Amino acid sequence: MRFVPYLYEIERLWLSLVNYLSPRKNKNRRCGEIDKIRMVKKGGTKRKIAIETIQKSDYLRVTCTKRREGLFSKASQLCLLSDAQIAILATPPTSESNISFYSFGHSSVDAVVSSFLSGQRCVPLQEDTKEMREDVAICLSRTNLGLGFWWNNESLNKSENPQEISDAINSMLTLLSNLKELSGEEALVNDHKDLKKNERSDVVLQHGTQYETLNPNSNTTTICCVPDELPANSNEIVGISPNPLIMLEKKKSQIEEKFEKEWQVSVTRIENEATSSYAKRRRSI
Amino acid sequence: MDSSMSTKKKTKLSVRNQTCFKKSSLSSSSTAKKTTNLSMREQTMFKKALELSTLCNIDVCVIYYGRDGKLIKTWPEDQSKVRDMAERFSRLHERERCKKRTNLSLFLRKKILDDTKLSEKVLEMEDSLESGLRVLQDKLLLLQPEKNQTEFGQTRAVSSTTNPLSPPPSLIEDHRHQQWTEPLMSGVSNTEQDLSTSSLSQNQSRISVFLYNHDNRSFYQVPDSVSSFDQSALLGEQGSGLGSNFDLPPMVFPPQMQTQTPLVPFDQFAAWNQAPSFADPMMFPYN
Repeated sequence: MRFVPYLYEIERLWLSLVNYLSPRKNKNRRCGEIDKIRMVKKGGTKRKIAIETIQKSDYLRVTCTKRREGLFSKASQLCLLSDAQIAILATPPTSESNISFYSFGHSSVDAVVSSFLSGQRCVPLQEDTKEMREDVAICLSRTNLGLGFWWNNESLNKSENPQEISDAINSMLTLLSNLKELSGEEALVNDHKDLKKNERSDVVLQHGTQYETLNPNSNTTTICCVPDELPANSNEIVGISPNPLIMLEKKKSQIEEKFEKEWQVSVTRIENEATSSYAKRRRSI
Repeated sequence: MDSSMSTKKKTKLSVRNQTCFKKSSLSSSSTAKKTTNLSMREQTMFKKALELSTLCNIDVCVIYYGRDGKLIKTWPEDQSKVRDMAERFSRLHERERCKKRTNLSLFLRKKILDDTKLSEKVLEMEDSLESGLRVLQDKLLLLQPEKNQTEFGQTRAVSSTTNPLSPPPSLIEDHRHQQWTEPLMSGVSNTEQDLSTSSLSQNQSRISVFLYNHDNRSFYQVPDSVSSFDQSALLGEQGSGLGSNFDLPPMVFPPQMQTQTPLVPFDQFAAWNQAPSFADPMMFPYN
């Protein structure tokens, strides 16, 4: 038992020596000064970076993006828990950007900023706004934070007011339809991922000569799947960011081009075979 | 990375729960627990704003209003800087503002779509939503039939109001039947047949009585013919009764009835049922 602390001390000293001798290999450190080398902490290798300006522009941009999202996330949690109204404004990391401000706000950035400039109070939020009730994302986030679903509320279950109950039922029906829309959107994203996988499989198949004949079938199946699902999803889903649709259209056009090439190749092959067989018959005759 | 992030979040949440537990043991009040938790979250948010501004060498400002609309805190503390930045933001054109501007709903939606366990959570939420919907619908149906029951009560009240209308004619009819059954009892073997016929006639007369009520309300003529048959049978019985008990003094009254009934039997009955004042002079000679 007596030797255990000695071994620990030896290991700690060795690690500090290694860090001292080779500072460049330590990727987590972003400070160039040798004097700020830290001793190894007890228990684990994770460590916090010093809160100083990051010199490298690449690291700076990545850190800015991630930490901004984290800040917005914390603010959103606080909004859900305390029904607060928060506005956050952040400038871009470089002056060359075409974006003036990155902003997050609840109830909205404009409302909070205008009330701050005018020096007046914000209009307090209603606790059960219809928009808040019928938003799937907000309900799921509240569940993650430990607040239950609003329709399991005791006051709602004990109330005898038919008007209140009918309103709740209508909100729940709307929420259910929104939830199905969200499922559709998720399915769309998964289809997008599947298309990427199909593309990769096509690339693999093209190398193997044995499977050349199967290529048009796979292409046709992929082409047939896309237009059947797209209009249904587009009809159901109301608010979608245009990016995935544009990407899907690009993928579709690329697949069509490949299909055309394959078709032309097969046509030329058939023509060659026909001419060769005709020539053989002529020779035999 | 995702797993590490999730573990970080879990550990942080557990740590805060412990601290809240300790403080709650001291103060033993839920409001204190919530306030401490929220104040810690506020500090975390402002700390992260500080870190972001320092690390990336950018300007960040946070404006924080409470639920009652009061301005709780801003970061940086110096409001002049915040005001400058807010003015810069408000001075922008609408297009510039809309770029990279997120709302609570949009931000959470984007965050949720990135979640790998979204399908499971969606299914759980859907199940809970459907079960809750069924419960509330059943409750609403229970509330609505209560109104129907009140209506049924009203209908019962209406039916109860109609009840006093029926007893008077039934009482009058009972008196008549009693008078006629006594002489029949004193008869011979033929009287047995008369008894059976009298019982049938009694039933028919009762039926005719009810039909009269309906007739008075709805004015149907078919019940009139049925009532005429009953009257002829009753007249026959009265004749036989008179023959057997001619000496009895109470039979003096029936001849008056006989003399009156064949004159206008239908009208008499109609007047009897419709107008009680018209029936009163009939009752007076008895008295």
